[in-house]
Amino acid sequence: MQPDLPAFGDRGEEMRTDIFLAGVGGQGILSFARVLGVLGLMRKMNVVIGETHGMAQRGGSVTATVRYGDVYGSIIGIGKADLLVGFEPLEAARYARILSPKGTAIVSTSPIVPYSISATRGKYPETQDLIGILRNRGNMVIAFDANEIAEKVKFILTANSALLGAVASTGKIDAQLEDFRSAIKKTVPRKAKENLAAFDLGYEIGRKVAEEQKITDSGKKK
Amino acid sequence: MRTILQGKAGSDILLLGNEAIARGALESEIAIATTYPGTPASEIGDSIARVAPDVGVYFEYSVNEKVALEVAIGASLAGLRAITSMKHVGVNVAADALLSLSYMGIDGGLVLVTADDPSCHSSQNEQDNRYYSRIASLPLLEPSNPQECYEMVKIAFELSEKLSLPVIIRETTRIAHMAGIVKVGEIKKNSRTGMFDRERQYILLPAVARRKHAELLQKMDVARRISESSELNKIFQIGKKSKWGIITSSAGFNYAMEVCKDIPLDIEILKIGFSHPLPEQKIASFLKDKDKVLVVEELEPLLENDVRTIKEREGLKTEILGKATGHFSALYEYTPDIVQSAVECVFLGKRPEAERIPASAPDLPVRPPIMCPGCPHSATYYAVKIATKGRAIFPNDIGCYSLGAVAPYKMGDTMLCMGSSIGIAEGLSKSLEDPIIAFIGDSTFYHGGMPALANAVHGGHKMMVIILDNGTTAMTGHQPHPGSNVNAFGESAPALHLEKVIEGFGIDIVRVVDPYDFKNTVNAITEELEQKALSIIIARRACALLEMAERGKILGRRRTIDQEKCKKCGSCIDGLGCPAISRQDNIYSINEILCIGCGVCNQICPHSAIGVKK
Repeated sequence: MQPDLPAFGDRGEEMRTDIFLAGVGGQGILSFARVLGVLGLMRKMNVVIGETHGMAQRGGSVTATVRYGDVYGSIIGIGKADLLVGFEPLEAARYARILSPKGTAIVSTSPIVPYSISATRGKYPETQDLIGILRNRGNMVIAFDANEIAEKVKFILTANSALLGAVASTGKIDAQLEDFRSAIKKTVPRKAKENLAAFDLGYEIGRKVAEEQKITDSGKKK
Repeated sequence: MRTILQGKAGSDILLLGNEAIARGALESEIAIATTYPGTPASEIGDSIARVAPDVGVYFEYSVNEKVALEVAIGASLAGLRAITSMKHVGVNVAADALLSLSYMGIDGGLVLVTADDPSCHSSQNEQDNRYYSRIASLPLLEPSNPQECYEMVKIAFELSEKLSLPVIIRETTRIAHMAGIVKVGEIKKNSRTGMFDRERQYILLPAVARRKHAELLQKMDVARRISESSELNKIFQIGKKSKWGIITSSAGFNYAMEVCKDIPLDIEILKIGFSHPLPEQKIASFLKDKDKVLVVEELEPLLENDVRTIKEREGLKTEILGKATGHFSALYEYTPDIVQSAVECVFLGKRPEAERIPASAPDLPVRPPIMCPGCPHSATYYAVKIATKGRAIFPNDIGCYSLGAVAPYKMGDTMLCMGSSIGIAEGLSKSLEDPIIAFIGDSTFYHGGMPALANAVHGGHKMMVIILDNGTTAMTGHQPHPGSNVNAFGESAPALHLEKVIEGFGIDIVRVVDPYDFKNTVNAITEELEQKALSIIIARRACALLEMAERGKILGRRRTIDQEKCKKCGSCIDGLGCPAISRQDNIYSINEILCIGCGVCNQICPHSAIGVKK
């Protein structure tokens, strides 16, 4: 009467990649995690996603995790995330401690001012300072306004695809560019064209940042 | 839309823990599924609701958890399989039925899923519902991941019918809201016809109950033997054979595995998936060849205390470590960092690193949850604040509107459990001279507020009850309730008429106000306050999110602030508290993406500075 449970980690001895997502309720963070989940499924990698539901979703800060490879639970340890994707700069900085010193942060720079700042007559921090927090923590920061890209491709809901493009550019996920593209087609079939266009633009930005960093790094060594 | 029906038998699909439970149930020939929505359990019911008509399952969002369990019991007594799911505190509501159900016994397989919430992510406490398996004397299974959620439901139904007992599956937030790959099987529709055997005594008269208690103990003896040989209690060896061990369950297992593999340690991990009755012999033989065993379990030290008892009884020298030795806390959910700290301390003699305890974020502005732009509750709270000048005691209740307790409203003096605002208001009104105003949502009123209101009428209590009627169970994802005119599948259904229900209690005047009509709302509250009687106000306006989803557009024309007229008085931010309005460097502006055009801000602006955006 008790079927054998499938052995844990059967899929699991491959490389581990930990991705932490942070933003504001309503920014499509769970959908983003699902695209990465579909990607893992397609690549036959073990994948675990941690989601936030319930009270925190009401305009509060929302996080999710996506983990590939030899993993069991959904929580990423402090300083262990290979990638931190910030859908909003303040939320990205809030979780900077999760980022590994070798990790890359990808941040959309358009701020969403929390209501509490207005209510307390406070001030939203300078975006550059928020990005600075991430720079101090990780190895590389790819910061750009994903909404601006979405406007370029004339469909505002593609901002997250631009971020996904930047994620793909880091090469930290064991998948080909085409895998990312088919994951997008699978998850947003109706607006695939616009989303793929935004994805490509995000990819280009990510690639450029990485190249610039390479030049700076080699300059430092000399 | 993603549904739990996707995936042919044998295929891998991506499912949330809660979706995996639903899928497991649909492969177990269930006839009935019930729930009262509550985070972190909600997605179990929601995902069954989406497909129930297609797979011949009767599904309902019941009025509360006790009724949800009772409906499932009815199906079981007719020989059909049923599943009911609820959040941890929901089991308290159902407990009256549950604790005697173990005596009564069942016929068709019956599974109760409890979703616990360590760290109180969306709850008023972090009670450990594993206790219910002890107090009710029922078998308990604890999954650690979506694949196990799916498997354990199927096992639970078999076990339930074998023992004629309901089986409890206990998950936690991290398991419920963790998605992973699940290898699924075939959906199986119910093939049984309901039959009720009147010869079986399902009446717990004292003479029957005494006999049934003895039967229960026998059934649990059988359960203990099954637990001893169950594959759900399994040893995972990491590295070489070792004299070190970990005994763990639920989410704790995940962290223990990762931490021990990463360090890496030579250690054996005994995972307890069938945790009541415990496999005591299996645990004893695990302890026998170990020097040190660390128990990793969130919340109460149930497993740990039992392991100590087993060790004593067997006269073993094994050192047992855990909460009693100060290596773990009974507070909050665990993380890999917390478990790593304890594992390194116990086995490697390292001092716990402060850095590992989830360090607080850099000193940045916080972003707590808030009421949505255009939320009718914001308008109601502001109206009450103006009418009372904030001078009243405000018992509050459970729902989105609980956020009325925080700034700028600060109208939540108590918030305890579903429906408690009215009962607490009654005691306060007999004890104080101050005006007492209780807030309660429509779904919460039906769930647990009605008996308290009956009590208020009969007891002659003088107080005000404001029912925040947004027509739905908004907080958990807009599930219908008995006052809704649609059922779980969007079909039309008979709706209770709230005014008539209340009039039926003998309350003649029930004021119904529209919070979007701000002035009249303030006036109605002011007038009712003067009555100094039991007065009921229904603040009725559909949840803005639901209304927008139904209309497919925002509610009205977006508003804008005329900077020349704005006197910076703060009414819109410090009074109404609309999150679409922001104040940066003392400049007030309306975010045009967030504004949904509810039109309340232009009614409350004392300087007529807010108008329709041209």
